[in-house]
Amino acid sequence: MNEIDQIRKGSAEDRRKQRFINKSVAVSVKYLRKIDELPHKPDALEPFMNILRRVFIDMQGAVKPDGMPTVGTYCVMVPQELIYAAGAMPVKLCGGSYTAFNIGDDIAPRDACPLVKAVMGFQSIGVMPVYQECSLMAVPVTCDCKKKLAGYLSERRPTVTLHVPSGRDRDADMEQYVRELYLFSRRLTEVTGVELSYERLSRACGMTAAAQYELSRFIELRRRAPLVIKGTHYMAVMNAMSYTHIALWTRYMKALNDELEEKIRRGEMASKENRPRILITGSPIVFPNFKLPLLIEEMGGVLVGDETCMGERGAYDPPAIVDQSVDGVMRALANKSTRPCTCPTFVDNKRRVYRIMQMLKDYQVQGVIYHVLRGCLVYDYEYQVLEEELGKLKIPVIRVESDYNEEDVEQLRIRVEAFIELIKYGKESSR
Amino acid sequence: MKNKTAGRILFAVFAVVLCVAAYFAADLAFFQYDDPLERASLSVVNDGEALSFTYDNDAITLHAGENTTVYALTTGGVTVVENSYTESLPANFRGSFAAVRTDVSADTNGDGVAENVTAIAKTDMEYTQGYSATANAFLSGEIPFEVVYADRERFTVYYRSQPLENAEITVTLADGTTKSVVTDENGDITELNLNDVRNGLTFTYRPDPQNTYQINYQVEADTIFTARWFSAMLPFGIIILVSAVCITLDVLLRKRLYKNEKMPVGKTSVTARDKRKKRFVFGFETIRWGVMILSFALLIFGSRLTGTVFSNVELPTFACPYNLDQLTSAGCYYLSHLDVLFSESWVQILAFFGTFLVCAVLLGRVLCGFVCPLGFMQDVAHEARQALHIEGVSLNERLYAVLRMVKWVMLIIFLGIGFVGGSFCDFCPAMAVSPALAGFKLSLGLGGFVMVIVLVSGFFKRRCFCNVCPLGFILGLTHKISLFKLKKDAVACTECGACYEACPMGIKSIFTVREGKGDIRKIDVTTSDCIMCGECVRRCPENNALSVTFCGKKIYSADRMKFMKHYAPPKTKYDLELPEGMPDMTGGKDRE
Repeated sequence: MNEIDQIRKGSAEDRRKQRFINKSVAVSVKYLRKIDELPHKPDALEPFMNILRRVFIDMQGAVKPDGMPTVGTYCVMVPQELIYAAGAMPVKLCGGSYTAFNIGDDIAPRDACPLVKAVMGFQSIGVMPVYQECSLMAVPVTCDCKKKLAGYLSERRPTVTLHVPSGRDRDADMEQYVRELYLFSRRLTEVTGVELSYERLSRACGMTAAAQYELSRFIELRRRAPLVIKGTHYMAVMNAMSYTHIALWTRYMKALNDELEEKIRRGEMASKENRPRILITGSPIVFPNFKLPLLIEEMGGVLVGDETCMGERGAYDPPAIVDQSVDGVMRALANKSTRPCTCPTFVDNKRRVYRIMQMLKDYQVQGVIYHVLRGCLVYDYEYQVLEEELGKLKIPVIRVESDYNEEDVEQLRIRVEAFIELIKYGKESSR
Repeated sequence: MKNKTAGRILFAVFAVVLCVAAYFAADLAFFQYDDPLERASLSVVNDGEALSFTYDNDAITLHAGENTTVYALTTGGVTVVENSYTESLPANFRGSFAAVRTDVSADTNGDGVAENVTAIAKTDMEYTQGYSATANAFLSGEIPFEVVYADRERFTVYYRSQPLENAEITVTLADGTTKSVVTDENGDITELNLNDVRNGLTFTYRPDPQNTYQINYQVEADTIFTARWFSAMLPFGIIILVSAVCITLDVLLRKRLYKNEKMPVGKTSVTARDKRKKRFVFGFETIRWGVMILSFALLIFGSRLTGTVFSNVELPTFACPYNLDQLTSAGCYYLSHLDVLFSESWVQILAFFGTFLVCAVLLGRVLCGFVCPLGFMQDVAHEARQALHIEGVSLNERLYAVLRMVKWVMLIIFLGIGFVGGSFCDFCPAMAVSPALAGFKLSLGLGGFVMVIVLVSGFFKRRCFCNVCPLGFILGLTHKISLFKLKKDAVACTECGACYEACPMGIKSIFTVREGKGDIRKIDVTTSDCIMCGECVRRCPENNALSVTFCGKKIYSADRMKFMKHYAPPKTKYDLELPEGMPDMTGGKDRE
């Protein structure tokens, strides 16, 4: 190959990359502005917005101390504590970018889910620093798409696949996952050079515990006053967590909680009392794919809770460290990563229905929107069960299928609007 | 399949060996003291002190004057002791001595006229004491006035070998205080404090103005932190030492094994230290430890602390009945010696089962979690491991299945051994703890070895013995009608399995139960294994998902914020613990 060819090829590639960045930034700016423009934004939300701006607009890496290696993780089954203990920082890389999705569309089969397509797109274009700077990728084998993603990534990047058991009631399944975590920890040691020790693990657990303490405080606050913050704002907070060192996130979360507490004391709510309270569940909602939460709040509903893995569930389950030894902590981590997880890739998932029922009670929910990303089969399967159970409780539920593009926004708008009207009228007629 | 059969055969062999060992438990000695008579000595000194017996470790000294005759109770009746026994006492002695001195005349009542004083001293060695209605009595003509200490709570006063009814007796305690008591129609005095008895006391009786009878009574006193107590603690000390050695060996062996198998790093880090201070959160756990420490003290030193013994309360815990100082007597004795129980009267049998049933229904296995001294010992061992951050054994269904099988073998041994001529006490680990701590010298049979196993297994797996405890199993049988219940809200539960991990008894149903009779928000998940330790509730991160109820009222419920407080650092520490070089993201919208 001669030199000119190389330059021409290189420049074409560069042009493609530049085009990608321009488009991607444009989408991110648009959605960040929409989030920003929603009324009743708490002041303490600003740091979280800045984090999203830094990652998606300024195209910089994750928010962390200089020189700290990052590990890309893909599902909630990867215990963050283990990565922090190894002296690295976990970054959740599940993608929500429409631009990356378009690239991934050519790599993955038509029916693959857009989330995985977006990740493959990011990998293929190779311009997002958050993706590029990762020293290791940790992909739990959950659904079929993630399984193929693990294969795709392992050919291109140093990758660890974590074999998540498909059932959880047997002790042997959990012990198998403990072994996986030991192997994962060994890989982490190879990357960072930090040996696993009880002290480091305990410190890391303390760090995430502080974050979960603040998150629990937030949940308590919202349980008391479901309308104190817009759900979209909260989704932004949880998305920002994916790219932030947990200690910093905790500090900002504490400030947010303090502000919300003050607001509750003053009786200052983010929405009017009579707005329909809606819970969102189903496939993950990853920035910048915020069209659904934004639509709900634009159409006069209030998003009071979410049961999605980029939302509350992402950091909800704490490890119950019963045995204060390395093995004890590992068991606790394996336990909390698999057993309480409501991911539909597990064989038996009655707990998800119960979890949603509990959230309905906690946040006084009036309607449930079931979000399905096109091609996300496992979530689609569970819709039937949930619809049946919610029917018994007389809570309306709709299934909303969407893809990573803006073509279906208007169609979604009509459906969401109709659903919110339905709740409003249902409320009035029952009065 | 082959593996399973081999496992079964192995277990059958183990069960048979265990049963045979339990039968010969008394012969498989862990620590053997000499017979009390063999190690004791008796010397008579004339040092001018009042006529009395004193004890120094195993040596008995009689402080005598002129014209003193010493008597000993033997299997053949009362004999006169002519010389000192400096090495040991003859085997036919029954552990009771008396000395009489008749030549004294003194004015004891202060009326200016001297009376004839008959000074007597009596002592009973420790091993003669017990909760039996009959005690060693001389009742001989040479000893005109005598007190007999029976059942560790009453003195029967004899005057010329006849019970002295409705007579006024002056009792002088060791510190010099006197009090006047009147014997009842059987000649009994019951109002004396056990601690006063332990210190020695003098009874004075004046039948007429010319004669005074004085008897100084002393039981073999066992005081804590004396040479005598330390020698009683010797076997227990050996047990702890052996356990520590076993644990160290185990840890070293495991370290080596992991190294050879190239197990992932970290699994063997034994000496890891965590200097972070744990936040103290007051809760159910604190109360449980409080109750456990209190009941441990009471069940071991109870009568020493309070001065009384509730000998008719038979608390079904492994507080050893050989320890005579505990507050109540232990129900384990009759249950493991059913042959003895059935030879008692009907009233006795009914009374025993009555109190047992009341205990079982009112408290059930709460006794295991809060009261049992053996359980406390295991919890202490577990806490020691927590402090050292040594890894334990992996808890899983397989382990619990084996433990359940062992429990059946233990139950058969517990209930049946008495009928074939053995005694469960020789096999029982509790015998090594409670009497030793109270200062009773007890030779240990196989029980000493069992105690080592209890401590070592309790170190690596919390409350391991409780999983195979036959007494606990019997207590748990009434869990359906017990007043304490564990309730689960299946909707609030996320099935995170923390309760199952935390449960020292390995109750899995608490985590897997999803449906139950009636309200799914109030499923009764109490099982016969549950010891109500509240660990599951403490480790439960969901509000009200688990709760302990008493008579249907919630007394302890899971609380997410409380759970978080348990392991999150104090709120003020967030700012301090930020790693260096962290960017600041709080900047305003200056970028626009």
